[in-house]
Formats: sequence, structure tokens, C-alpha cells
Amino acid sequence: MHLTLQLILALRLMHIFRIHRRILLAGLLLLAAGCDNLFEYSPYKAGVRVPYSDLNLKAMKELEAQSSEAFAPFTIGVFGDTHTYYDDFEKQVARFNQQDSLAFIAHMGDLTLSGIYREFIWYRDISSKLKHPLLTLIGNHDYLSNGEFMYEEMFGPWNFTLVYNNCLFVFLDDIIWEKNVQDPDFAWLESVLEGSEHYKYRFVLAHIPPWSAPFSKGNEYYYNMLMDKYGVDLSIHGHTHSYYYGQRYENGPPYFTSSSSNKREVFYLDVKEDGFEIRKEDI
Amino acid sequence: MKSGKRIFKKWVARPGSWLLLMGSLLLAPSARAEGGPSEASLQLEENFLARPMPMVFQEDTVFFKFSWLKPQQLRFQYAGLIGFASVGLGYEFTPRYSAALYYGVLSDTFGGSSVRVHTVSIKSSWRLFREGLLGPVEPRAGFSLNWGNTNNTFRRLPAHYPEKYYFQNKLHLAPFWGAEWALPLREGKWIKGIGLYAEMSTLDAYVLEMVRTRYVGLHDIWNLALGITLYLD
Repeated sequence: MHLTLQLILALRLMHIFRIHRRILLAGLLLLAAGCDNLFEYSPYKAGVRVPYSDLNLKAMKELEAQSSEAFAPFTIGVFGDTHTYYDDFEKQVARFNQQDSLAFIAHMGDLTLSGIYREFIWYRDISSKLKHPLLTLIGNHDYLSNGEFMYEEMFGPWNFTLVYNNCLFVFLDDIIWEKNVQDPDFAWLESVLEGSEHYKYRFVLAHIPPWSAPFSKGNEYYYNMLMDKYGVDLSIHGHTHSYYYGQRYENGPPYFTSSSSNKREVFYLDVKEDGFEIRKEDI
Repeated sequence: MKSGKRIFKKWVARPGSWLLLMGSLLLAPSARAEGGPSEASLQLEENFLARPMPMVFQEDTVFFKFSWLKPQQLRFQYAGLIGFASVGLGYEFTPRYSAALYYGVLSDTFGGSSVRVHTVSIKSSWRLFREGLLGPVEPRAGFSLNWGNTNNTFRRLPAHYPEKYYFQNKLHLAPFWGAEWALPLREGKWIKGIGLYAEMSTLDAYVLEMVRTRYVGLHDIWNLALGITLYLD
């Protein structure tokens, strides 16, 4: 039901029962105080109003319009694991907004703590202040309660790809335990990496790094094998809450994990003609 | 057993069935009051409810009366974290304290959620002022214990997680404050009064973020619930 309709109904009821005008005014003030989400049906609700839906798809449309056919250098912002560190999250957003030339920003997942309704709304509220397009990955915490479905409505599909300035970005949902121990969709990952050699660079982004506990030894090996086989240039992750960059395995690409918001760091990935570079900036 | 479950699920899935249930609940008292059973059968029913039933626990015998389960209030609520709409049975334990057991539903049709959520809630409320001090307005406060079933909620973590990986998320504590506007009806009816209530409630998780962060303020965590209480005779 629309909020205005609800208000009219409430006023009508108050009129019928001849409630004193002052009580009515106090009530109206109360209504105005928290009007945006005045009625909340359940913390487990999975459903958002129209302007909140398909945020990733909308950002990708914007990026496709900006992107060029041939390679041109660009920089993206990377952060993640914002959870409920809202004050630090706001500072990260402000820091990203000081940069003028970011192509887009990637959130590496875990945008909530318990996957409940208002946490998603708060994430949307803070991140909407970003002046750059934002692509949000799903994290293991976002799978709790009905978060999985809330994410799908709010952002779009769990797995998706983006081609920007002749570079391929693969966003993979690699959550395992929260899906009752289900392997990441390696078949999909392989299908998008196959025949992608013509792109200047290929980046894979996924919340959980393969050496983290939810990955079995077999999955860890298989993930890195795919990275190696298709010549992925960099594998980007979150989840560990701490910054890491290095050659993790004997073969395969270098791995990078972004830290959580409370560490007060933001990251940039500069994609240049002769390679790429990761920069860490303290706030 | 399995087919019975499937029939129940099908029934639950139809929004019309909910309307039917709500309607029949609302109409039931009037049917009884007007056409109603004869005086004798009513007497028998009351006798049955009031009859002490012996229940033996080990060596102790406790006399249990079914009439103890008869609620003093019937409540209907809109919103308030326990579903789009909910029905509750209310019990008055002391002049100050009452409790209610609610069942609420949220679905695609009722509340616009792509996932259906069933919630069972036990609400404890305390009257803040002496009865009649503010006329028909009765301020009250308390908390609910909400149990919701979703895709990924658990009381105990499934075996594949390390210990204490997550905190349980099936039960939530929801404090509230509000007031009821009570209107007594003429005596001798099945319903002796009707109350309209409005309550502001919040959730344990939201209170925690209000304490922990500057971003979440006191005004960010509340939501409104509206309801009707029928006081049964």
C-alpha cells in the first residue's frame, strides 16, 4: 500500500474517533520522523521498491555507454566487507568521491552483517552518495536470512561479467557454506573465460579467496588451475578483512584481497598500457 | 503425511484462503451471538472447559483446565516486524502485564516480498500507567520474541561451519512502545470492548547498530505497527 494512502487512512480513523488535535499533530510528527521505512513487515523481507532494484544492471548500462572499443588506460576503486562499519564506510565513500577519474568502484561483498532488510537499505543509503558507478558482489554474510533474494532484487544476478575498455571483468559468486556446501559455479566461470584471450586484460572478482576455509583443497586447486589455464591477469577478493597482494601459488595469477571498512583503507587498480598496479590509500 | 503437508502448503499459497480465514475469524463471534447454540449446549461447553483435568507428571497430579487456554483478547495487527498481517491471542496475567501469541504472514501478495515469511511471536507488554489515569488512552511498552523461518536462519549452526562462525539468527528480540485507545462496548455481548493500538517497534540488531555507529541514529531504527484488540467476555 502506498504511504500516502496509509496516511489518509490513519487520518480518517483519527477523525472518526475524534482524537484530540494535539495528539494528531504529535502522531504526524512521529510519522514524519521516520517516514522512509515507516512500516517494516519483517527483517526477513526480500523485496524493494522500484528505484532500488537492479542496481548492478543499471550501473553496467552506464559503463557500457562510457566504454571504448579499443583499450584505454583507466582506474577503478576497490573496497569491500563494509558490514555494519557504517561510519568508516561513509569515510571510504567520501574518499572515493575526492577522485575525479575513476571508471567504477567494485564492492567485494559482505555489505551486511546478518543479511536483514534494513542493513540492505542502509548500504544503499550510504553507497548512493558515491559519484562513480558501483558494482556490488555478494558475500557470505549477504546470504544469511533471505539476503540472497534481497541481493538478487536489489542488484541483479549473482554472477555477471563486464567488458570495459577492452578488459574483461568477471564477477563470480563463490559462496559455499551458506548454500549448504555447494561448489562455486566453475562451469559458468570457465564458459566466460573460454575464448576471452582477445581482451587486453582479464580480471576475476569473487568474495572468498580460494585459500580461505570454505574452499576445499580440491576447489582451491581447481580455481587456481582455471586462472592459470585461461591466463587471468589478477584475482581480486575480500572476506579476509585484511589487505594482501602477492603471488600466492607457484603458477597462476597474483591475488589481491581488500580489507574491511574498519581498517580505514581504500584501494585502486590502475590499468595501464604496460601492466596494472594496485595502490592502497589510508584514510 | 506427505500429501497432507502438500495440501496444506497449497492452501497456504493461495491468498484467497487467507482472506477466508480472516473473514471466518471475524464472523465467528457474531454467528454464535445471533443464531448461536442453545443455552443447554453452551452450558455443557463451558462445563467442559472449566472441568479440572488431572494430569500426572511422574508422581505429582496437576489439575489442568482447558479454560485456562481461553484467550481474553483477540488481536489483529498490520506490520510491526512480524509480517504484513498477523493474528494474536492475548492473555491478561495481572492488571499490569499481558502477553500475546501472534502468527504473522508476509508474502508476494501481502507485503510485496519475493519470499514468503512466517513469523511466530510472543509479545510481553506492560501498562505504563494506572488504568484510567489517561482516560481511554493506555500507554504501554514491552518486547516481543520473534521467531521467523527463512532460507538461511538457524538456532544452531549446521555442522559444516566452524564454531561460532555466525550468531544465531532465528530468534530476534523486538522492543516496542505505544498506546491503545480502548472503547468499551455494551455489556452482555460476546465482545466487551474494542481497542485500537499503534506501536513503534525495533529489533535487537538495529539497536546494536544504533549503539555501535554514529550513522544509525535513534530515529532510524523504529517502525510503526497498527492493530485492533477485541476484548472477549
